[in-house]
Amino acid sequence: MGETILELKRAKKAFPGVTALDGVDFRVERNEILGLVGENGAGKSTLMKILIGLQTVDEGEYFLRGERAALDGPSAAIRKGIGMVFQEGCMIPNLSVMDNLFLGNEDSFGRGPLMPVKAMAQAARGELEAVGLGRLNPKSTVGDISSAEKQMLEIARLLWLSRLYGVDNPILILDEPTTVLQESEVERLFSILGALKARASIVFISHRLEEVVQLSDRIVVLKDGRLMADLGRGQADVKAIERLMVGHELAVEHYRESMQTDCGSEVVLCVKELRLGGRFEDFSMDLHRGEIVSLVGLMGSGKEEVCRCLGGSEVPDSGSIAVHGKPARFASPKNAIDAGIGIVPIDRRNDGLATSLDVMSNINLLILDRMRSGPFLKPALEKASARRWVEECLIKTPSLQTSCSTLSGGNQQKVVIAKWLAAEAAILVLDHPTRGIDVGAKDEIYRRIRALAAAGLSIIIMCDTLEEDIGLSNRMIVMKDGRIVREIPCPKDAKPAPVAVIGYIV
Amino acid sequence: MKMKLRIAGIKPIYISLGMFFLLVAVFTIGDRTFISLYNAQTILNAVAILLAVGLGQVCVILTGGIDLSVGSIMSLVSVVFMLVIGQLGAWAYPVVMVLGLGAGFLNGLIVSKLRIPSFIATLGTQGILISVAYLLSASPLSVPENSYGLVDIINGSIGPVKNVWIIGLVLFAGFFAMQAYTRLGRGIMYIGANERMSYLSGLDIDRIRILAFTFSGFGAAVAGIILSATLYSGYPSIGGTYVLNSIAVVVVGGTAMTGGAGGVLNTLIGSLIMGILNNGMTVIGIDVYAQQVFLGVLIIVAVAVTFDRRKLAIIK
Amino acid sequence: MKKTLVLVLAVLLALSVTTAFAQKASGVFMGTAIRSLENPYHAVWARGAQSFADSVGGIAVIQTCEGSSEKQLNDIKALIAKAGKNAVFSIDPNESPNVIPIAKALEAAGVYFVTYWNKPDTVKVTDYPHWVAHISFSGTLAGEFMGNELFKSMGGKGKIVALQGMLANTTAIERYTGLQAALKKAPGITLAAVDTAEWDRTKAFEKMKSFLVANPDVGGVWAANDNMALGALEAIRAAGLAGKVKVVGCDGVDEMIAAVKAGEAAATVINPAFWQGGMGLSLALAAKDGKINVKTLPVEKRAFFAKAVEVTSANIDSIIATYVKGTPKYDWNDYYGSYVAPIK
Repeated sequence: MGETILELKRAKKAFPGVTALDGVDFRVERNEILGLVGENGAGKSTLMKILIGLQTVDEGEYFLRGERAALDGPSAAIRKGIGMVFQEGCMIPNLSVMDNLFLGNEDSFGRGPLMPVKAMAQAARGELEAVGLGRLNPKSTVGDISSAEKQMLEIARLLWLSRLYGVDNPILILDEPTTVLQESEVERLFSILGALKARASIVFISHRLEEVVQLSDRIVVLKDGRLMADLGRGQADVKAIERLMVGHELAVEHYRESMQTDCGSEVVLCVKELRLGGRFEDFSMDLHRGEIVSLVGLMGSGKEEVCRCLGGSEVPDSGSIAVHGKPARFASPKNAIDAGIGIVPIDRRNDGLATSLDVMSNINLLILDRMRSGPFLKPALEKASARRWVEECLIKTPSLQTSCSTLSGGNQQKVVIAKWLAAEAAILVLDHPTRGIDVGAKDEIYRRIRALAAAGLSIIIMCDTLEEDIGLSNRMIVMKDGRIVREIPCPKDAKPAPVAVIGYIV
Repeated sequence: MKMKLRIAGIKPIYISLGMFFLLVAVFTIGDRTFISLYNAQTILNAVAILLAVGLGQVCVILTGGIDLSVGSIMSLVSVVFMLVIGQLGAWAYPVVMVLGLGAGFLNGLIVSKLRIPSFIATLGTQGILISVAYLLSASPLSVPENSYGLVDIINGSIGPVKNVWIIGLVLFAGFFAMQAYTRLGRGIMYIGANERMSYLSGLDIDRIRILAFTFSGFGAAVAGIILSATLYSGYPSIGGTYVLNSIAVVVVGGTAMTGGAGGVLNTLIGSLIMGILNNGMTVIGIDVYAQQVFLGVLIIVAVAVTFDRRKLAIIK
Repeated sequence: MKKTLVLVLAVLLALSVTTAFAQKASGVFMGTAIRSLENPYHAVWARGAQSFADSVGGIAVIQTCEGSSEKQLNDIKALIAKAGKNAVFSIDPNESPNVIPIAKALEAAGVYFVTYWNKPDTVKVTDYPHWVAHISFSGTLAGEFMGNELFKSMGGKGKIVALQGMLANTTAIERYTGLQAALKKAPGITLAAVDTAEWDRTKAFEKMKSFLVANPDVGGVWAANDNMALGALEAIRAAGLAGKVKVVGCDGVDEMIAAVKAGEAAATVINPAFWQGGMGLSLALAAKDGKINVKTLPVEKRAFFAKAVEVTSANIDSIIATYVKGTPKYDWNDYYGSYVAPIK
């Protein structure tokens, strides 16, 4: 066992109505990668916030390098050598890489009236090299670099700061770093983290248990604010961790394949030769009643734009769309909605929900028209509708008047889906419906998707992983560089293997 | 480091309500005559004007915008009201209300169709409207003597109940129903809470925004009428102070400037607080210049404790 | 949160303390409703009001409305709520129509009051038994006096130019009417040019420069207020004519009085703010105490022009001693001593 450099003893933290942490003992050792897993609401966020000083414990003690720590914010935490890397980075997009790297600490390059740009660029190159960004120009604008590069940049910044403050072996907390990364980028991240281990400790938080198992030296499982297990390398496999996280055995089958139904013959959506200049062209597809079609492709393959055209938020240059045999032209989302197409967007908080409003307002948004008598809305009807969908979609919320901002990611997603179901959309476009959602809630979303298809809804889906695409869909449409390259059927008992598909994608 | 002024878990509206009662208590202790019927009538007359203009303003603020032209609409309405009441008689009322509606509608059109931020758009229209008022009459106009009776419809009372209270209540009820029980009211909240989501969900954002501004114009018109009637006059600078006052009653009531949180009920309480402050300080005999200090401090405190910061969260 | 609470409590405490001080005095509340203490005219007015209140043991309450008619009305009503009938008022209405709601409110409360300057012609003082008087100063008389003094300084003959105020403004019209009346009685004087400088000093300076080009032989300048007279005087100084070409103005600002003293200006007129502040309250209090019976007062005593202070080189030293350096002494019981003429 290595030297313990961070320790939290019997930490308790309660919020009105919720005990977020219930006596957690947590430690981080020198030079290790610690995997932290748990369902949403298990207490991971609270734990992280306490570690970087955004919140303080109600009870319990916090030691850093053997000393009692009292942090009053992230900047104090960074001084003590503990920092957090956010998913998309927490940077100023219109400044350069170099400016962001040294932001607020330019004085360390001398206090003259002019910024020593050359010296800074030189130093920046060295820092970037250490995190595998040797080829990145320190003067490029942060807004233009990829998510992966932003993450690495943030890591570089934390490492540099820890050296600036003379901290040995800093602790880096990475919150869901892989969700925004492509497969190849994930591998690169892992190799860099492996190398960084020699001079830092890393707390790695992820919903992708395979990655956690692969990367971590030690895995800590949280559930309902308690520490369920502290497992060394090799002691745990994905199944065991899932069991610990959810408290009960998960289904053997990952994507509820047994619930998959065959689709009907009726063509609900017929797209012909759709084209959006520079993005995609010659896109044609039929979507049948009760069918789940998955659009697969890398970033830039054009699949996102196809979905935007189907949702009316972008207007194609040419081609036709017909819904239930009737030709349709979507100039705005409203047209698409009127035609019966609903979009569950990837960015729930910004595109899918009014998080500051309550559950009821969000669910009923599209159907207020039906809750009127004369010019006035009837609160009784609104409540009845909201209650029905909360029950039907198994949304866990204290009340209908609860603000959506307080719900977990999975429950927020269910609210978005409920909104479209309430509006009786016949076609749903699900854009990464399980992103940032924990294992237990994911399974509920899968069941829900199956049930919807069985009930006759037609679904176009884009997933986080290829396995998910294969598992969920009846049929896959693979896109590359703006064109359909292949259609692959995915019937219940004859799912193709991912390795057989990946070749078409890249 | 962390300034957490908002009291955790308590809705802003209850804090505003508490503040209201606290002020009543302080002023009553300061001078017993504060709660006399006569003084209550004076306060509530002022409150009715603040309420009318504030109810309009809150519709726009809830969408995340702001209407800087309410003061000019009040001024223009007061001037036109004085100009036409002699000839048109009671028809002057609907005429100037339509004028307010039209000015608000124009604001809405400019903001939504020309895609100009409301701050700039209404800054422009407030200049235009006030100029029109000056062109119509640069010097103050008073109610023609034969029309006193018409104006006294507003100044009159039924027993101890002043007619302005009834006007204020009816207006409040109307705006409350609009906010709580119509699709327009919900639409205003949706847009303020998340405009992008509202667009993606097919809401007609332009229409909702135009209507919000139209309501604002209407509120300002009613406020202008009451103010004109109270003062028996109309002139271009009459509404000048009401731009800031209308924003003050909205925020003091606990409605977020960022939109999507707060509402009509908050504005009622905000108007009461502001009305009481203005009057109470004079009643208990605070020096006029010191009054400005207290007013400023209390507005800042009120906003600090009631402002809804949920939308400004920087941590997830 | 604690900080906020402390802040709130501190503010409330301060409010109560201020209140405690305000409550000490007793006596008749003497309300003075004026525009603002920032301008010297109203500041002197407030001193006159305070001086009178002190002389009779009343409580002077100075209310400034800062340009808001509504605030003026509401402040008056707030004092009515506090004092009831135990009050009198002296008012300079923010805008002339504002006298209507103010008169209605004070009449309904049974409080005696005096108003100054402008009121709509349709509003009759005699319709309100508690409206003791409406007092103004005649712009026509002032304009005529200025004209006469100017002509006298020129020896009764020569050319003059005139600078008017805002053309639509009542005061500007009245003062110019006064000049025309003076011209009729002075056959040796010709009005060479007339223009408006909109009460503005800089505009007057520019206008005067062009007058001097067109009429190099001008003998005097009549300006509707001191501001414009001083602007014109600067142009005259620049032309090296100071003392030879005299100016006249109205309002009695300090700089103009100095110009009269220096012999560059022939005359100005001071509106006696100190007298207005004291006499308004004195008249209202006299009515309240029954010393004058409003019901039996002749109509001309209810709405009249009062005497303004006419400043010429003849009386300039005593004017400076009394009004600029000192405080004038008035007999507050000489209610109608300054009466000049009825307002028709």
